[in-house]
Amino acid sequence: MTEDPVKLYVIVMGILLLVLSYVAYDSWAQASAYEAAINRAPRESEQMKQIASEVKALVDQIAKSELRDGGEKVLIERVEKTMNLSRARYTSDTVNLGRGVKGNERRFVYEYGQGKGSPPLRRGEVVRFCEAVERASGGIVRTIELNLRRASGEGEQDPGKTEKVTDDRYKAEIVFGLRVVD
Amino acid sequence: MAKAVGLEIHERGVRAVEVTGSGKNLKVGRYTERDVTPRGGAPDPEELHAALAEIFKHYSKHHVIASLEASDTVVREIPVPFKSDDQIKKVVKYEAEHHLHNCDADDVVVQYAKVGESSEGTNLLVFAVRKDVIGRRIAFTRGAGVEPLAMDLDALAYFGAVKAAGLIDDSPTCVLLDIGHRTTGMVFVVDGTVRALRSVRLGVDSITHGMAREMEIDAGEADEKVKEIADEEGSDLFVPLDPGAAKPETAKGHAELERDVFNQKRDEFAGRLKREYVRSVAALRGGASPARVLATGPGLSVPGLLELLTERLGIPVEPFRPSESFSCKLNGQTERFDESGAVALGLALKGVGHDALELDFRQEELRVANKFELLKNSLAVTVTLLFFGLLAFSGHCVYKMRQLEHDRFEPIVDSAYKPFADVVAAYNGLGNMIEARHQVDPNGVERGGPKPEAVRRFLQALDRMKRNLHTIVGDAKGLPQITSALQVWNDIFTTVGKLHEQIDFVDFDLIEITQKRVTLGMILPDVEAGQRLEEGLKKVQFLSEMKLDEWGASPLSQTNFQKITFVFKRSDR
Repeated sequence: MTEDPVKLYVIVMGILLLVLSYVAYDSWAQASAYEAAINRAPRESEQMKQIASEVKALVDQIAKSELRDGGEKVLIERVEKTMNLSRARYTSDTVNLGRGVKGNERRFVYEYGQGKGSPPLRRGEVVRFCEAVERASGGIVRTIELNLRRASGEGEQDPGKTEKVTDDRYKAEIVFGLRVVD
Repeated sequence: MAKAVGLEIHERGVRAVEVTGSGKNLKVGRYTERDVTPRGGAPDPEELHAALAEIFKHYSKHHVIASLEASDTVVREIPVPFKSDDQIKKVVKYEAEHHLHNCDADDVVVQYAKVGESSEGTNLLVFAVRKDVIGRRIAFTRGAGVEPLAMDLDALAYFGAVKAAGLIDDSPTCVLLDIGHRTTGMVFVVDGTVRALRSVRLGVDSITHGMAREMEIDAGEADEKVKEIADEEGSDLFVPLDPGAAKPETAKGHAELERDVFNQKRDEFAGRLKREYVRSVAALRGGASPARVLATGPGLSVPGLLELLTERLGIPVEPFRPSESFSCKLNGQTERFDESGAVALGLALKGVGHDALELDFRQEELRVANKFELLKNSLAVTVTLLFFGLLAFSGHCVYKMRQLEHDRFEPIVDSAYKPFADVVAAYNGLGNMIEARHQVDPNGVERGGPKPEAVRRFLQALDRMKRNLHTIVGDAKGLPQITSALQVWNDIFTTVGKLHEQIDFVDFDLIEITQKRVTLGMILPDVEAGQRLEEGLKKVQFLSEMKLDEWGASPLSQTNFQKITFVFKRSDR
């Protein structure tokens, strides 16, 4: 310990100065931060209103969809059951969207008209089925692919007649799905 | 408060003065002198060292200014062809070397004072002291644990004391005499500045030694005789040089004979001092005529010496009494201080800022290593001022910060929090649709970081919620959107329906719609119908962004109908 009181005083005051410098800087920085926050408050308030309305719209969209009660597969199959459709096969997979895109495509594949338990579908049935799924999901689940091939011997057209086809039936493969971020 | 100790080390001992204060508020707090009896002409170094150590048992060792003797100094007046101090400092040492005999410039410390300026340059009074002399003095003080912060000549320190006392202002042209035991310092002051300095090897010892020789006694006894004479009334002792008033030698007693010897030796001393004085005054340029002489040192205790010098020199020779000019609390030491303390006082005054000539002989390799000691007083003042300045600034910042926080910022946060919390409640209300890690705690958002960033954190949280919801609904930013195959199919059928008037019969054999390819297998009446249909299909929005990759027609067996296949393909970019 130094015997020189001046030296001791300078050391103690030096330490106090350091502490005080930190306090002064911290207070000054905080005051500046508050000033900046107050200045940008009107702009941030506008941004908040805009994003909040977008979030509300999205929340409403999801809330109105029937996805909340079990997810995509349950929703599709509920519609399928309501329409009394019998599928031949169901598969699902997730496909990477490829290089440069950080996302996947979740696919739900339903096949009809292959075998006794699964009769071919009319075009109208396919349309109604797809419309019902898309509507029930609030537009979240979409029809990604449609693949319809005329079922052999079912409602084949007499080429001599000119009226519109009314009794057409098709083997159908319908792919529902949505794209999600990784 | 600044405090400094002036330390004079002379041929017979040491003297120390402690001064506190600054500016005009100066106080002499302590004076001590320790004399060492000389043996064989010089004091014993060990006794001198012991005297120094004894003094510094009672004095601070931290701000000491020590003396060098003018008798060890070479003083010359030299001209230099420069006026600015920077230029003079660069050349003075080597200019002075021409005037220093038997001495190398590297072996001395050179300091200077300006004594006059002309159109050709500046006249300097140069003081050169050998480094080994300064080094020995430093080593001596270090032996007592004292590191002098600066060193100055005793005669110049005396000048500093007289100047600080204001006596130079009263008599700008005067002579300062420091009558020591073995030497006498003479400082010639002209118009308030030092014009010449001489150290004459003539001191009061010449009186006592002369008496000793004459009376065949030793120097110690002669010293006692002088003290005995001094104890008697001073005015009676002064015997005018009137031969008629003298008694015949045979009629005198022993004491009167002793006084006669004393008077004779004192006269001889005064006569020799006068000769030196006259020579020096004659050498002064400009013919300056001193108004008075101020004396200090042991010579003041020689009875009748000042009166005799007044008579011989023809101008008043007065004692310099520092106690009359400075506030002193010396507890019975005032008389000794007035007689011999002027040099030590001048050194101490230098330490508290009254530095008349601003000379310091601790230069080059002899410079004080610990700069802090030199700066500590001004540093203490600076840190104190800084401390209070910073304290005021901190207080202002804290007050301003609190004011902004409470009066202006918190209402903004309050008004933003309510709508934010409502949105978060609706968002979290989606339940299982929102993964647990994407749930938002509105209180956590508000408090989870620097307060001034609270509103910005609301915004960021809303943005995260929006992105998460976009992901849930399948149109996250950056992902290619799905075009509903159902929508494409509807568009194709609408187009076909519009062409019904032109095409009698249309049937679909194959419908394949993916995001990149659309294949339509159709039964049509003829090829022309297929071509008309192609034109219509190309206007369907989804197909218009594709290219018709294949177009094939084949007749249906046993009929005139054609099976026509269209393949539209999205070109890969």
